[in-house]
Order: sequence, then C-alpha cells, then structure tokens
Amino acid sequence: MLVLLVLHVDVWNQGRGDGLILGFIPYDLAYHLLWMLVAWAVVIYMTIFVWPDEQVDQVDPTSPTPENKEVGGGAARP
Amino acid sequence: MTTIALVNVGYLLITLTIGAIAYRRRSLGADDYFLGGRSARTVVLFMALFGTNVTPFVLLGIPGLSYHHGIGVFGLNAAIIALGVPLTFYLIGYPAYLAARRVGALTPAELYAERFASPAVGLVLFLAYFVYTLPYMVTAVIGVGLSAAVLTGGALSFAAAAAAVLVITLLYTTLGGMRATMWTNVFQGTVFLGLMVAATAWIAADLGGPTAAMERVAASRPELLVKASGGAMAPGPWASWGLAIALTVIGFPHILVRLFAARDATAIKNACRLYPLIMIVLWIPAVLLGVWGAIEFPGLVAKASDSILPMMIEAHLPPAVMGLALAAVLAAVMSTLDAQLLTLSSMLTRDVLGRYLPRFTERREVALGRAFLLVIAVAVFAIVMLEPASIFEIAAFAFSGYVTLVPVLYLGLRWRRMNAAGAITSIVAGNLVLLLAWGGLLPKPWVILPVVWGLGAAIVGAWLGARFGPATPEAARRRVMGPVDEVFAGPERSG
Repeated sequence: MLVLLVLHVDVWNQGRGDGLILGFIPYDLAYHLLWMLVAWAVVIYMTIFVWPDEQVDQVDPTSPTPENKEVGGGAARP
Repeated sequence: MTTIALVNVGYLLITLTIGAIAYRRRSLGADDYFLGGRSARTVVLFMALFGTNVTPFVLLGIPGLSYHHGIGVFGLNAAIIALGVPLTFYLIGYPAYLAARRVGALTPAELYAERFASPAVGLVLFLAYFVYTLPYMVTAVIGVGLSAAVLTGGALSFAAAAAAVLVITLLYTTLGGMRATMWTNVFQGTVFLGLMVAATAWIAADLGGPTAAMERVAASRPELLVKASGGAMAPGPWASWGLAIALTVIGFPHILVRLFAARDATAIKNACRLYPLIMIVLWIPAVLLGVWGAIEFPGLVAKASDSILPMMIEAHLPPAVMGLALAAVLAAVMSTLDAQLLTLSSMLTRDVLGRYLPRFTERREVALGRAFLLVIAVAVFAIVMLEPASIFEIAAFAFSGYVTLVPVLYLGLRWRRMNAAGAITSIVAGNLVLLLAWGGLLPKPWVILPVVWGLGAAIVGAWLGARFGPATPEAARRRVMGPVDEVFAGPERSG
C-alpha cells in the first residue's frame, strides 16, 4: 500500500513527454492506468483475504434481536 | 430543440415511473423509507453508490479542469479514488454498516450519537454535514443549468433548468424514499456512463480517430499531454489533493447511508471490486473530452470551461444524442441530489428534531422529512442563482470539509477510548483550522492545500478530547462497537 502511495506521487514524471504510446495514449495517462490496475489487484486481494465476513446472526436485519427491535430508540435518546 | 425535449421528457418519465413503482412497494416504517429496508444487493448497491458519487463534478468539472491542466487531471483524481474508495469502505464503511445494523441506526449522526451516548455529537455532525452538503448540491444544480443553456441554445434558461431538476427530484424522493432513489440510480448510472463512453467514441471518430485527435493536441498544445511541473500538479498540492479526494467519499453522509442499506457484506465487497474499473471507464472520457475541447474551443477563461462537455457534444453529435447528453447530466445530478436531500432530511428529523422536541411517531417523522426536503431544495436554488464559483472550486471546498470528519468516523468505530469530547473537539478544531487555512492565515509548506491542516487538526482534536474528556459508558460503547469487534477481532476480544 505504501509503495502504491509513493508511486502515486510521481514527481519523476513531471514534464515527461515520451510521445504517444500506441499512437494515442499519452505517457502520463498510461502510467496512471497501470497504477490503477495494480490498485485494483490490491483491492481484490483485500476483499478476498483480509476483509472479515460478518457473523451469521448479523446478516438478517429482521432477526428479532433486542437491539434491532429498538429502531432509532437507542441509549442516547432522551 | 424538439428532439432534445422529447428525449429528456422520455428520460424524466422513466425516472418518475421507477419512483412510482418503488412507492407502491414501500412499507410505512422509517427503516423502509430512509434505507429501503436494508436490502440492497450487489448491482443495486453498486449503482446506487456509483450514481450517488458521480456528479457534474466529474461530468462537467473534470472536463473543465482538463481543458486548462491537461491529461494530468486523470492521475490527480481518478487513480487515487480507485484505491481510496474501497479502502475507506473497508476501514469505515463496513464497520459502520455492521454497527448501524445492530443498533438500527438510519443515519451517520444517529449512529455516532449512539456510540458516544451523546445527542450533542449527532447535532454537531449534522451541522457539519449540512454546511458541506449544501454547496455540494449547488454544484450539481449549476451543472444542469449550464448544460441545458448550451445544449438547448438558450431555449431552456439556466434558472428554469435548475428549478425543474429540483422539482422532479423532490417528487420521486418525497414519494419513494431510499428504495426509489436506489432503483432510479441504477437507471441513471447506466444513462450517464453509456453517454460518456458513446459520446467520446463518436467525437473521436468525428475528429478522425483517437490518434488524429491526440496528434492535433500534440501539435498545438503539447503541454496538455504532459503532467505539469507546477500549479496543481506540484508534489505538495498533488499529494494533499490526493488525500482529500481519497478520503472525502466516505465522508459524504449520503454515501455512508447507502452502505447502511446494503443487504450483506458480499454486496459491499463486490461494490469495492467494481469501483476501480468503473473509475477508468468514466474518467478517461471526461478527461479526453476536456483536452480535445481545448484545441477546438480555445480561449475559455476560468469557470467558463465548465461548459466544454456540452459544447463538444453540441458541435459533434446529432440532436437525439444531444438530448441524451442533457439527460445524462440530469441523471448524474438527480442520482446524487436525491440521496443528499434524503440524507439531510432524515438527519434533521431523527437526529435534531427527534431528539430535542417531543418524540414523533414514525409516520410523523417521515412527513416531517418530506417537508424538510422542500426547505433544502429552496435554499439550494437560491444559492445556485448566485453562481458563486466554478464547479471544481465549490466541490474542493466541500470535499475538504468532509475530510475533517473522517477521524471521528474511523476512531468512533475502531478506537475504544474515543469519546464524545474527542468527537466534538475533532470536528470543531478540524473545521476552525480548515477555515483559517482557507482564509490564508496559515503557512503553506510545500504549497500544501488547506485540507491537510484541517485533517491534522481533526486528528489532534480527537486525541486531546479522548485524553481529557470523560469516557463513554461501557454499555453504550459495547452496544455499537460490539458487532465491529466481533467481526474484526473475534468474539473473545469484543466482550
């Protein structure tokens, strides 16, 4: 993640032309498109391997737990 | 003109029909009206988040900015959003969804008031949301006015278009609530995404193909194809704007509420997986049309470039597609405006009036929410008529403000020691310092933007308040954070 953030602030690309890739893609656009694809891969990894699933009893909002019976009427209400 | 009108009447009729169908499917409870019964699956949730997030800031403001600053605008905005949105949904959105579901909270202000056992936190949060959402709504309505004026050749005035979009959005939002806004978002997102892609392909072909279009830019304005060395592209502004745009989306109350409406974690995860890809599909056309427009319509100064997208469409596309273009801008505006209206009205009725005035029945709460929608719409229209600044400038102001709320949103759900004093100190300090920075009263090392000051002050304020303020009653903390702890740390640590 840190590497991605450093690569995002790409001071080394300032003023860099390098023509048009494939005849129509500016270098800076290609660089950030590639960056986004790597970021997308990180997001896919995060959602599969890092992001914990909810408990089974948290899936159904209509389940009769004491908490969700009390819609909007929680502890802070006068 | 007739063709454009017919296409737009068709678009509006479809939108109202979807709203009417949602109205017939409603039940009478506040949970159904404000959150659609918390039943949004992947497609509806993703399109609702996407439709809500995309405004004339992207469709008009980004082409306008690219007109002046070139291709670097893509990297400045789209790239970091593609990472920032899924990451903040994981760090803040998902815990908020878990906690809101457990305690039955319908709004962010309500959730955090419960977390800190403090109605004052809900009130302060509502005020901050109100202050920044109002100008953000203004950018949307300005976008409609500009597009209508250009695409209809002045036949539909700026004021008439702005009023019309507010009235129609009010109609279906008032009747159908969250379910209507989410269903219409699916249709609206499809309309503006399809239009942007199709219009770019069409215009590129009209210019002799993408290679010819780019070669024209390279020949006459080569600096537009290169990331500039100064201004907004210098490292300080670049990094601080990246911080703002990556964090601001989760700060939008209308986005957080959409996450509350998710059916399950899978729907939120799938939305995160799709987000980076949809950013690419939408933002490349927005930037390219601005850059190509700089060659075709040179000489636009400052906020005049906000009209470059409708100008390009008017110059290259037949009337039917021009009609679709206006419909697309309407779609982008309405899909955000409806969510913003609904969220602000629900916070006012539940988190302010509901707490400080005698308690309402749910039916009265919904009725009051509808009345407040009208008041907000009138206020937005009045500000729109002043046309205070460019779409990008107004959005930048709002985005910076939302970022100051992020420390409270995160720490409130992930830090046990966070308390009401920390939340209020964070919001007040963050916004005061942001104001000072906007006023030019604070130094700007490395030319950083005011948002960095605001975020820093909000973090320090949160720590100071938590350090010296009274702790939140354990029962209240556990009631809200319990489901979050269970999922992220396991049940043994949550108790």
